[in-house]
Amino acid sequence: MPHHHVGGSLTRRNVLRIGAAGAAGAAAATLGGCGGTVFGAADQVRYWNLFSGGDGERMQRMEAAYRTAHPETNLEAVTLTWGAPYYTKLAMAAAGGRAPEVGALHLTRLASMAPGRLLDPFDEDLLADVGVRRQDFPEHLVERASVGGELYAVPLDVHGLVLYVNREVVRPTGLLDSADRLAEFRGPADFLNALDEIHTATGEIALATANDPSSLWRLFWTFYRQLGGDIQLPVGERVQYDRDAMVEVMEFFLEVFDGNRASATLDYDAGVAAFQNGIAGLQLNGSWELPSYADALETTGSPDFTMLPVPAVLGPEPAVWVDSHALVLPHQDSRDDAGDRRAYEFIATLLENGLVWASGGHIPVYEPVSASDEYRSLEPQSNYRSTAADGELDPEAWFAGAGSDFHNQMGQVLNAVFTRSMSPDDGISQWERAMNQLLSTPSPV
Amino acid sequence: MSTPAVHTPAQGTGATSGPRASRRPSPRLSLHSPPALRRIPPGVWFVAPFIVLYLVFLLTPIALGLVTSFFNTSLAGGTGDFVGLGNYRELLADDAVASSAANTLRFTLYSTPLLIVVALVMALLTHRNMPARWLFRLAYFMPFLVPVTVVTMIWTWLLGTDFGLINGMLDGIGLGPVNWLGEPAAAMTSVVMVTVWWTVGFNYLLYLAALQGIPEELYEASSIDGANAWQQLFRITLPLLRRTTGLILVLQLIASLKVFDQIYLLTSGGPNFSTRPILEYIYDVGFTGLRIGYSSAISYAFFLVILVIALIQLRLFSRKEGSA
Repeated sequence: MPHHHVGGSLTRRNVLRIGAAGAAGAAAATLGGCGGTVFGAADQVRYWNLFSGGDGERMQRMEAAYRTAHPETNLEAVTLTWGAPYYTKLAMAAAGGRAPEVGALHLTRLASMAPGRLLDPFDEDLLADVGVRRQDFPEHLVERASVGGELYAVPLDVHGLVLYVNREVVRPTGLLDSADRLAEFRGPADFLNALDEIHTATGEIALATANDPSSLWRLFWTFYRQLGGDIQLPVGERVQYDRDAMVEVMEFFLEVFDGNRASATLDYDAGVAAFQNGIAGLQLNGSWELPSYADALETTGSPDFTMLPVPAVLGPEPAVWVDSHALVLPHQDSRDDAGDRRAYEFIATLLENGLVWASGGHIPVYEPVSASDEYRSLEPQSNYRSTAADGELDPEAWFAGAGSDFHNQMGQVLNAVFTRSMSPDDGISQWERAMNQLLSTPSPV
Repeated sequence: MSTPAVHTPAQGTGATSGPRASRRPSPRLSLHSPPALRRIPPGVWFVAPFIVLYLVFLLTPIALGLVTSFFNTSLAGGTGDFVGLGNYRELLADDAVASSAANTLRFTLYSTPLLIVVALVMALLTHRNMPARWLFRLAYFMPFLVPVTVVTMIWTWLLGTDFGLINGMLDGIGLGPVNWLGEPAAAMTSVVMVTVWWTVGFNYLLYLAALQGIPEELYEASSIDGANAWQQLFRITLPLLRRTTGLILVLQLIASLKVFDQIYLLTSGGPNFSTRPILEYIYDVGFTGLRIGYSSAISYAFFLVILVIALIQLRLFSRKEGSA
């Protein structure tokens, strides 16, 4: 244990003396301020992530790649449940200064993690040493990952809303040609007609969606951005948004959710089941659901599906909701070069194994992987790789981002509007009040 | 955690030689233990481990929570600044506090009577001699043993609007689909229904035990006097169950007021926050929003409401007991 890890008057002898006295609890409390290195074994990388299911399986393969390349380092990976509780735990660990060396988060949650206080910035020289540079990533992601010119997050992927298409159901309607290209939509009426045609052919809902707050937000943001709408959340001021565009998007969805084209009451699992069982010909969902359908196809022979970028429907540009899984350095009270280098090498290994990650539906953004022939020939993943460039991240605020209060406030309103228990105007007003209340609340981070 | 460990050996000697020492202190013990220690009654050593845990894990957090409610503490570090009654002033103006508290009270109002009446009816039915009585008793109690995650997962599928079993059956008899979890009134009904199905077994068990405690002779004697079954139910059974009903009412009110898990898992408080209980709002503010100071203040305000309800209940009951 190098000496500079142990601060103040706590020499090794003192620690031993306290230990001999048998008061282990007291020792832990006194050492609390000294950071993870006191408790962690010498050559250790601790990594917290929120990947379960198909993602978790792939992440474990990537972790195994690191263990093979660095057998001398003890990689301790902890998987916690997706959602708000994960961020609470990560924030509390960082607040105590004893956080894991590496953490995974959604890039949209960066602002809620107080970069500079709960997160430590990357040393870009050291990062370049392990083969990772700013210019290896799309500019808009690096911009979102930087605060005050310093890099706080290294993006692992972009994952966004995509259009899942059941070939067997959709091809007979002529909407999908033999090269898996979708007919072009010149406006919302074309899109609604296409859904009608699928419904007429099958007698079932044409498009599967989900009614949980985050899923509804993803749908809304996609088409609101296609109309050119934006949301600004300046803390201490009032929310800025385009009310007309919001109303237009909501009214568009009220036409979509007519019970035949799509159902506003379908929950997430029911939506997945509806597409997987060939009931719905189309689904708007995140690219992460690819492994479920691929597994189903392998075991049962259906659904025969492909994945395409969300088409431009309400505007000329195919804007689409995305988020990005990124790797961060949660704050530690004491850092040392050797420990940092191990953490950076681990991050570099994850990036280099981006193809494993891409097999789960995510879009790699580390250029050596995203520009590789192997990725470009991956089907159906490379179909929707344009989503990385067209993608629109959530608005930025301490209470916004994946699984946040922002998602919940907007999602609850959207659900009420789409199930017709609230008018679009009332819904927007309720959401606006909630936003202004959050904006007037002093940020806890 | 070190404190109980330190106490364990002391408790050990107290347990083995304590009772004897209190009557006639053995000379050997008095050599080693100071006189002050000997004056402590031996019972203290028995309750000490519990008292210590109670202090560390219950009383201290309760006191700390009260202190926190006067600060704008963030869960992401720092005690924050002292804001006095600022948090309490904020909650009075916060619509979400009022509406989520109202949801909790509404849930309590709907679920408590059902959970008592249904439990009583089921207990009366299965108290009679009947074929396959064990099966009915098992079936009525069984759901209580199922974990909340399983309960909500099953019911989410049953109550699904588009592909749910219940709407499928309704469709079979020509009734339109009900948006069970997505329409405010239906969602609260669904939550109460699921709660009754899940937790009524416990009250049922208490009633069944109480029924078995009523002496058979009372029924024999009354039937000789010509009482019919209804008269026996209202003049003998129900009055003798009153203490049990009182107990169930208290337990049920407490359980219903702290509702959180099944609602969080079934509707996450939706649609449009119409089923969000106050505990979920406290959780949202404190753990998702990291504002643990404000969320402590809401907890204490709600604690005050519960205290008032408890006092009213106590008064009502002591009067009843007195008149009986």
